[in-house]
Amino acid sequence: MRVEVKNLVRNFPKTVAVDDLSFSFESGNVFGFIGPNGAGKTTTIKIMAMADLPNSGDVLYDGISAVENPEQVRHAVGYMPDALPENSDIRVWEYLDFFARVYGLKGRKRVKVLEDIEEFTNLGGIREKYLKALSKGMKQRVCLARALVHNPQVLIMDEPANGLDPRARIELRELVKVLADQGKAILISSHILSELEDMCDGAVIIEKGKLLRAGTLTEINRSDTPEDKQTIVIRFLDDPEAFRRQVLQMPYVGEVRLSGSNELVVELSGGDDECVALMAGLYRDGGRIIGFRRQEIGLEELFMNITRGEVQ
Amino acid sequence: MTGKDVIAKIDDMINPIVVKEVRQYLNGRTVVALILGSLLLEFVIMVVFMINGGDEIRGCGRNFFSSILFLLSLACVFGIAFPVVGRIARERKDDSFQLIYNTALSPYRIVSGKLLSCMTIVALLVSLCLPFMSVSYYMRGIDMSVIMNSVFTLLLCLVPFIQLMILLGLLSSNSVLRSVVIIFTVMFFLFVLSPGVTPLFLFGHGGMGWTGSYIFWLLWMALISLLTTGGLYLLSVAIISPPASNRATPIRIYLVVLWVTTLLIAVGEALYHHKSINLEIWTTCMLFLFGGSGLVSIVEREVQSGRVLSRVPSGWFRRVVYFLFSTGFANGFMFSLLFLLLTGLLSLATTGDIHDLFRYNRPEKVGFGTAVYLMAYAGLAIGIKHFLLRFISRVNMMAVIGILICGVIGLPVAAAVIIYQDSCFFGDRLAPFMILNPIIFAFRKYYTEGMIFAMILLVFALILMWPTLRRQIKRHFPSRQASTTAAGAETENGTDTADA
Repeated sequence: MRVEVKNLVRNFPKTVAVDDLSFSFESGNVFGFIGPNGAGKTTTIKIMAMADLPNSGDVLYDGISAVENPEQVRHAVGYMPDALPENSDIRVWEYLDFFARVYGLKGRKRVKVLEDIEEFTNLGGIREKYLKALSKGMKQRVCLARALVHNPQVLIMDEPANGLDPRARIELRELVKVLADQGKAILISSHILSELEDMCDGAVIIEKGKLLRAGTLTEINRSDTPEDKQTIVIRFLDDPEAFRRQVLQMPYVGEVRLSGSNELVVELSGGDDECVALMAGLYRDGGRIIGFRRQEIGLEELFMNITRGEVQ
Repeated sequence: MTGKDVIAKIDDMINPIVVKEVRQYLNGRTVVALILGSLLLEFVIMVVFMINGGDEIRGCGRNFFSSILFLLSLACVFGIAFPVVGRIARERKDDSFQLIYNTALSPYRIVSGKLLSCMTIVALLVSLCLPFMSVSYYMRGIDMSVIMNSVFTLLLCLVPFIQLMILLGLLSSNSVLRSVVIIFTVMFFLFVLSPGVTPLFLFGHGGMGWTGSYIFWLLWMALISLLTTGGLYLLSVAIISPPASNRATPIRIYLVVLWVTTLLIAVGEALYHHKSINLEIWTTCMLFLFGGSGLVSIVEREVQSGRVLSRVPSGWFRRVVYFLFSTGFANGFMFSLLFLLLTGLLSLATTGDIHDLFRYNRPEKVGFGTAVYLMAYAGLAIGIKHFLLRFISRVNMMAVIGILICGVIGLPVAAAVIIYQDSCFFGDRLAPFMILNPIIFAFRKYYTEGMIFAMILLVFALILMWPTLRRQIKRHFPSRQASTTAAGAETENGTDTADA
């Protein structure tokens, strides 16, 4: 399934929460939805999950409008909000059973689906607990189970790792990977960028409701560095200090600095040919190279470079 | 098929909302406390009656039953109906409602589920009270038929009341409005309706022919209950229906059904009793109702969704019907205007008063005047709102302001006029100022002036709103040339015909 957000605009009194936002992602992709607090992430997610309406623009699920025909796409979308209701009068299994009924699952099939989901999200031990009595991690798992009850093709998760301990985060990451392997299109909004980096194929970065970057991580990386510039990390077996001056004398090399143990970080003007020439030159001069890689900018660094931390 | 399978099948057929809500009610403490509390109180009342009754215990069943019924209505109102508002409002606040709303469950099933779950708990409470009601019968002084009919009447009153509470819960954040309506409704229910039910049966009925019989009373109550609940139910459904859908259609169909049903009843009653009073009441009620629905059209959609417009039928007559029953301010306004005209013409034709529209000679003429005023102000508000929409993207409050313009102008003096309407000072000096307001009809001698002013105002409003009204109408009735162009555009670009 292809999800397309097209020219989305959402105004609140005195605020433009989402301003002409467009991006898309597909089945099997895990996309991170990143932005500072107040950037319009939750508003966008709510519109995508049909829990809110845009002032203009649309969200298309395989070409079907979520604004005009929400009934036709609801079954395809699973929405995991950042919080679970604090009910003290409904148990975990009752809550999930209700949503299974609501999505039209009947009789033994419903029982089977609920058993599978409880096993998948590891809820078996807490199924008799009331929602109010659950810890944050348990609540997130119940939220995920609820969003998956009707086996949606698209999963939209709003801050799923928020407030989770490291173990719960790792478990969540594994679950997301499994779901992506099942062919679901997943959009995750999160502040924990290192988490996203590990599981996302792409990202959408917004600030003040406006799109800053969107695409796969490589695309975003490339778009953020000039085409003829790259950073190369070379690891030597011996002390690299002796080669530093030598590298600096090469015509296409800009800045060179030592990094960590036995590493040189080289700012290079040019493409693959210049990389090959650099490596060949160092070999020729007796450099014992054990590592040679292009340095990709991390999501965190990218986010800091792109955004200005402005809120609305 | 085993018994287990049958039970599973029935379980699947039950509305999921009912299953969830009843589970929640029974898991929670409120309902359990309510049941135990009311049973205990009823037991105490029974003991008190038995101790105090002494030798006359065999005649005090009537009073005992009245106490039980009053207690039951208190429990139902405060323990079940009243908390529904907060419950739904809370669900709307914490995303739960949005999650339910986003499922495959239709708005109809959501609202009916809420109503049915409440009624299930009411039925549970009533059934638990039945033993005490039987005791009241054995105490004597009351018939079993009175007991049964009183309980049925209470249930018939509770259904629209609970539906009203659901509607209030579904209404968005206006908690002040919600509280005011709740307080008035609860007061009405407790102090007028519920204690009145039993005496009505005890003293007002029996031995007065068909119209005085219990069954007639129950049928009448059932009809009123059904019509009221139906209207409130459809309004609740409309509130949670997708904004792009044709959410006004069920309400308009309901209004037409209401119009026809009540007209038939009024005509039947008039023919049966050879009196036209019911017809006059019908006319006045319908004029107020459709005048009010004209005001509602102010807050309807300015631009119809592609989904509504893509379903415009082809034939001319079908287009007119579709136009009148579709959502949208122009559609709502024209629908109200049409039914006001139909009601008015029907009334004028039956009374032979058609040539004397501007003279006050019948009580329902006040309804005519008020309806014209309401439509005129609705038109003005629509005109102003659409004028402002050219400059700002959203005019939420303008609708309210538009409605209130007429009220605010007249309110400060309206109270004085009502109190001192016979005084020369208030009557003659203030009447010219009152012409901006339907209160002018409190002075019958100024009826003609008021009616002429309202008509002029309506014409002015129609002129003001005409550009937007025409644009909206044109979307439903595109010219042949425009249709051809639009069809061409649709083939080429895949765009929406009506939008093109």
